[in-house]
Amino acid sequence: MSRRGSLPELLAALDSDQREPLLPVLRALVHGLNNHLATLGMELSSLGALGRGLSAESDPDTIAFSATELLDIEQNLQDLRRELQQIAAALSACVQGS
Amino acid sequence: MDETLLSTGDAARYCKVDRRTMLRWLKSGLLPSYLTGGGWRRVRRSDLLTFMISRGMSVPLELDPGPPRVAIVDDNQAFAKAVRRFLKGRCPGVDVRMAHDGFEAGLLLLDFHPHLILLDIVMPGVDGFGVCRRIKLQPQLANAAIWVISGNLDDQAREQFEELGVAGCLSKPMDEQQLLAIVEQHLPRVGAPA
Repeated sequence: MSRRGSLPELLAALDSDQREPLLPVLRALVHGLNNHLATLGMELSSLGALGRGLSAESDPDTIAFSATELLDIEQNLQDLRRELQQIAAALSACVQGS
Repeated sequence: MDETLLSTGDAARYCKVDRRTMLRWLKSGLLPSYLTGGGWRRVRRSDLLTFMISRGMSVPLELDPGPPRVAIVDDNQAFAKAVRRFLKGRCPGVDVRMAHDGFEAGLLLLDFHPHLILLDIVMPGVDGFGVCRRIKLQPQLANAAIWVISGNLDDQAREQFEELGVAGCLSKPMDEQQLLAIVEQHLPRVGAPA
């Protein structure tokens, strides 16, 4: 297995013996990343819809509601970033400890 | 109060009983009814609703006067919030509520009577399989469509959920259009999203 390359390339290069001991870790990673990707997809879609709506909006109440929603999306994305940072930190500690 | 009057045949159909059973209920006073000038027996829609809910019967969507309701049961709060925002933005008028574990789900579902339940698998306490089994034991939730949405779906889990009678399974990360299609399929009063 090459020591360099993108993560997809490295994973694709693993043979079954190398993959086997990693499976519990890989499953947890898949679960976490799929959850975060799903959240990101939903929030990006909401961001787009809010942006399109705001560009033609003049009602102050609707604008205020959209602003609150935007701040809530930011908070959700900040939480998401924190969780991704935790995953990255755990992986990093694992690599440094090897 | 909804004053719409229903025929005994329609009332029987909603309750999924024979018309003779319905007539027996009406004549015994279990369910209030009225006679028209021509002698036909009629049931007020609101009385039928009260009767069905008090007896734990599932209320068909067409008889349900409330807004379309979606319950998200997922321990990932960021995801649940994102889905709720997405649905409320795309399907105005839909009431969306969340539960983050099996226990909360039990309380929410029995009170909220959702038309559609988006259910995760891995949760603290009672997992998605347990929640699904409990839903299927509740007659008043018999019309609720369950869609399993999880980042942990394999063939075995899909088979188990199919056996439990869910409407379908979707793997995270899913396409937003897939989610909208599910909502439109199970909440027919939801118009085409903007």
